[in-house]
Amino acid sequence: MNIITTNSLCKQYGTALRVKDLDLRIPKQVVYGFLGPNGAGKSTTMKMILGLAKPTKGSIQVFGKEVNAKNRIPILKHVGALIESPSYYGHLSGAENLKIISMLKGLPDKEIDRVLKIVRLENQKNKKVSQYSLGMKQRLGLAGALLGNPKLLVLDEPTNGLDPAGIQEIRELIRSLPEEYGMTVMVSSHLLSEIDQMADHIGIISKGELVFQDSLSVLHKQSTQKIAIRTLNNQMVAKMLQEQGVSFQVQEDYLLLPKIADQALFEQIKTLLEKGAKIIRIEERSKNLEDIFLEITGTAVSL
Amino acid sequence: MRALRIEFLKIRYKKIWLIVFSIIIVQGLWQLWAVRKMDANDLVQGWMFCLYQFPVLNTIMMPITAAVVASRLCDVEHKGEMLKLLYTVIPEQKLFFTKFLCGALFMTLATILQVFIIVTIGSIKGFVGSIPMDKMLYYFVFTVLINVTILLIQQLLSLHFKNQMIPITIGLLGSFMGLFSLFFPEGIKRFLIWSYYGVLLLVGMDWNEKTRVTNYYYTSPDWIGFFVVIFVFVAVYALSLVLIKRREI
Repeated sequence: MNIITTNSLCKQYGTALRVKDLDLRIPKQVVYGFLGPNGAGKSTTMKMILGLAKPTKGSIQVFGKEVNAKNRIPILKHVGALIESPSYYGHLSGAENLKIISMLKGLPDKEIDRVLKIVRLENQKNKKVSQYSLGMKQRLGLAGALLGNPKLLVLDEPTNGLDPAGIQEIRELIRSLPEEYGMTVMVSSHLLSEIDQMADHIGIISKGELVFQDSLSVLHKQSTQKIAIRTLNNQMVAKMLQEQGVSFQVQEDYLLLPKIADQALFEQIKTLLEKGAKIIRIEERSKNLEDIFLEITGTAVSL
Repeated sequence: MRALRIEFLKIRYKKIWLIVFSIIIVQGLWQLWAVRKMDANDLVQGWMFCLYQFPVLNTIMMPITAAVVASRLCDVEHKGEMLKLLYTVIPEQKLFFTKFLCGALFMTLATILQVFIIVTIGSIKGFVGSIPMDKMLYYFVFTVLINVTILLIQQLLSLHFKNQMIPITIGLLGSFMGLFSLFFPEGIKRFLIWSYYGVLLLVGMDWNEKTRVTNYYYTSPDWIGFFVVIFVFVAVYALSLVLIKRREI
């Protein structure tokens, strides 16, 4: 069963369709990376899942139940959220902020100490939040989301404003949540490298449309290496390869062949030369994740 | 009850009670100054004098108090962008109601203090006759009703606008309109909720130009005006619920 399912989810603001027919499938107990350039519709989608924005069309299911105005709050009792910037009462201490959320969720006070420990804020808990750094506020927001050990965490750009050490810390924490606490985490980012290091599953959104959704390993498979051959008679060589039953792609002036063992490649090249191929370049090409992302989204924004 | 406790926890260190106390103390001092020289005729009319003066003062001060209280209660949510978090754990309507209840307690406390001041001044100055309990009760009920209705309007505005200067300015304008409306014809006066402290006055005033003597007299409660305020309250509350339900964060 998927933890979150959306069907043909749309959101229109004025005449602009910000989210178009989104069909999310977020499996249980995984870190689902929701990747997309800024303005792609990530936050809007997450807000719709949390009921903070109303879908123009489509449906949302969380824990297998269709979310509507009546059951929204009971369903969200098992969801922790951190949307965009962290929410806090600046004039209150970190502990008091968490006390308010835990009281609203009907949780015991010991929960506060537990989550403060997880985000390593226990020594700063009595300090006013207005005196916290942005990173500390972000960690406090995360602590609030973790209160009550929710089954699902929805985190919108949780590493925003953190220093490299903080990013690493939060990343490791998110990574550990499915295994240690049985949680499902939906985390958004505009940074591919970040999602690559955190997520098991990935959904790529571009201009409001979901352009890729699968496990990260599937995406990685697309980054397999290729052998690029450039000749002075590409057409003839292409015909030769066809006759030999070798699969290839034509890319600009190159013929891309699947990567094979060195010995097999040597034999292949030898055969082509013997048959009159005028080879001038042989290169090893590897498509990295960023190339794939660019290919999928057609944009270089925010990489 | 827990939601209300949470609301009070949120406004810890915000000293809203101090604002309310300060305004009531100013009203009390004003009243003390007004009763400093009273002859026998004034003492006979002492209770009526107070029950006339306080609603007039309320026209200026209570809309401002309501605006400040509502603003302080709602601004804490805007400043830390708390609404997007709160609306995932508590229904919008419940949050609105609890916030309103919290503000209404402050406004009721203000009215209780006013009654206390009137009774204290009356006892100290030796107003003739016993405390007019029924009139005091009317005054209390009418004042609380107008207070909470204006508070409701202010809360709706304060929750809607992030910039609290807008609702505060509207509160100030309401206060001035209410005061000036006391000089307006009855028909116009009744279209402004801020003027209802004057509309629901329990005491009439007769000022004799020749003798320069002011006489006060009790009037019967204006139940039509009372129900108009209740109607406005219900209408604004219903509108608030529709608007907050529609609002997207």
